Amino acid sequence: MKNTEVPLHKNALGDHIIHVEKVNKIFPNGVHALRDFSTNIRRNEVLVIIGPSGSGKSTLLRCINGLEQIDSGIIIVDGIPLDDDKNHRLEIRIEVGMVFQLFNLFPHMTVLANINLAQKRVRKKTTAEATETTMDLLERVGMVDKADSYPGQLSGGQQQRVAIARALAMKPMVMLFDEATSALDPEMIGEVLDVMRNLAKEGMTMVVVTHEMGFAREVSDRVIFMEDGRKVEEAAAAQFFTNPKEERTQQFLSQIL
Amino acid sequence: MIIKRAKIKPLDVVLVFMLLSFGLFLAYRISVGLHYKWNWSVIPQYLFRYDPDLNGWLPNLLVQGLFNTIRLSIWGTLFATILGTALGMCRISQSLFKRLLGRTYVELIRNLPPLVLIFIFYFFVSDQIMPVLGVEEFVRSRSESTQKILAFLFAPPSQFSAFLSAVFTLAIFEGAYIAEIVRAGIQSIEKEQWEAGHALGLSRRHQMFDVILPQATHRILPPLAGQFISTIKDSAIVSVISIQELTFQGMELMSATYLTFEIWITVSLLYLMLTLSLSVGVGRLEVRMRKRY
Repeated sequence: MKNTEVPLHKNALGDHIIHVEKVNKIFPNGVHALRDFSTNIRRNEVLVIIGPSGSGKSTLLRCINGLEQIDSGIIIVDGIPLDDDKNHRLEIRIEVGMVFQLFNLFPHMTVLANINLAQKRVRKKTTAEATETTMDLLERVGMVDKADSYPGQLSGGQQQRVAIARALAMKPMVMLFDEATSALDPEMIGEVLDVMRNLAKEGMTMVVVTHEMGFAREVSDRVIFMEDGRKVEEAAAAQFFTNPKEERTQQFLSQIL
Repeated sequence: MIIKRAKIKPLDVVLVFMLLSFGLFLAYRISVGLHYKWNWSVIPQYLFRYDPDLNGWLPNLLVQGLFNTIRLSIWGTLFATILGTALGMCRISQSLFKRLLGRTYVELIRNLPPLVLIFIFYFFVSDQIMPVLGVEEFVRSRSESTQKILAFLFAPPSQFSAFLSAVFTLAIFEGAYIAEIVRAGIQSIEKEQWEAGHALGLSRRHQMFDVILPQATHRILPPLAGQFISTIKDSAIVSVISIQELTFQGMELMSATYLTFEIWITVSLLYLMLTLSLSVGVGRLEVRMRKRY
């Protein structure tokens, strides 16, 4: 893999693991989902992104791991620029784990096989090596006894915990959570948030799109409030929730808190 | 679902009466108008014949034809599935060239009369491809026992090359339909499954073969089995290139015996026996597939 320019970016970024600069994303249907969006994410940081639906939160996550092509701007992940180079794109999506709103587990595979697959195919591990990692991860998310179940036999909360374990199995440097609890029944939200909370404590770098304000308040280091593809306000968590500057932010918070 | 008990209404009675009288009318026209002499008694000997040397019953023309039809359909469907899967994947490839290739193939084949295709392919395949591959010599140079196995699975050495040509022709033809089944099956898998694979760093190839295809196969299987039944019916068309399958044998017998109705009714029954029993099987398969995850 050729990435001779990597050291240069690394120096330029300092402790920033993700660098997003003036990113624009316009969907084919004309929706301008991201407008000149810029931010930096530091190593070990938990960044929470909130905002009304359609504000571009999910699009931002999807752009960072290359699920959507950006129209202009720069995204650099751990010194690797997200450009047209296939190897760069591959490296980034290996290094960035993603958890989806609807879990997206592979329904034809057991929990074990779901988590083993990418380890074997991408990390070239043997089944035994992969299984060892998988069982450790299942232990962490409290799902060891479900290793041989199929996703269809699990509750939503259980599926999402498996999905988190699946993403972690690639040993990503950053985890993106795209409304990970929005599709869950209220009584299952807690178990997934617990897993996320532990991850944050362990120092995982996380970008979390969520509507769980309590969780955001408790876990996040920094909060970004988005609307219409723009960053309306960005602040340290404590300040954001107690003393938001922008009127729009105050209005949004008053509606949901 | 609410199933209403069937009730016989006056209209039904009229319809049944009309159908019955039409049947009677047909029978009358055939026996009186055509002066047709029914002779069913000779048909069984064309199904099985008694061999005094072996002191046993052997399949005769019609049953041999039926076996050839089954062989043709099985091999035809098998190769068509391989071809169709490859081209079905081409249809949704990211490469424009592959998409064009798949599209051209499917549109070309599906928009031409099969009979025309058969003539083009058959004469090209049997004239140009088979001699180059050296199929004939290959079969003839095998040991006797191997030849017997090949004769059981495909055709005896003298007809081997023609049989393979027919199989490939059929496969190319059915492949276009299977390509569409495969394409639809793959596209029926939610795009989130691709995305999950993508986010894990799987290559597009692995996304396809580990994640999408296994799920698609599940949905493809019932229509694929249906296509197998179509292949059985379509295989009649290779009778025009002298493959001794059921329809060809029927034509041969008819020109020798002039027992038009007896022979074609028998041939129809043999086809129905195959296709109807498979239809029931496919129906069961669909129900079973729907139950799983």
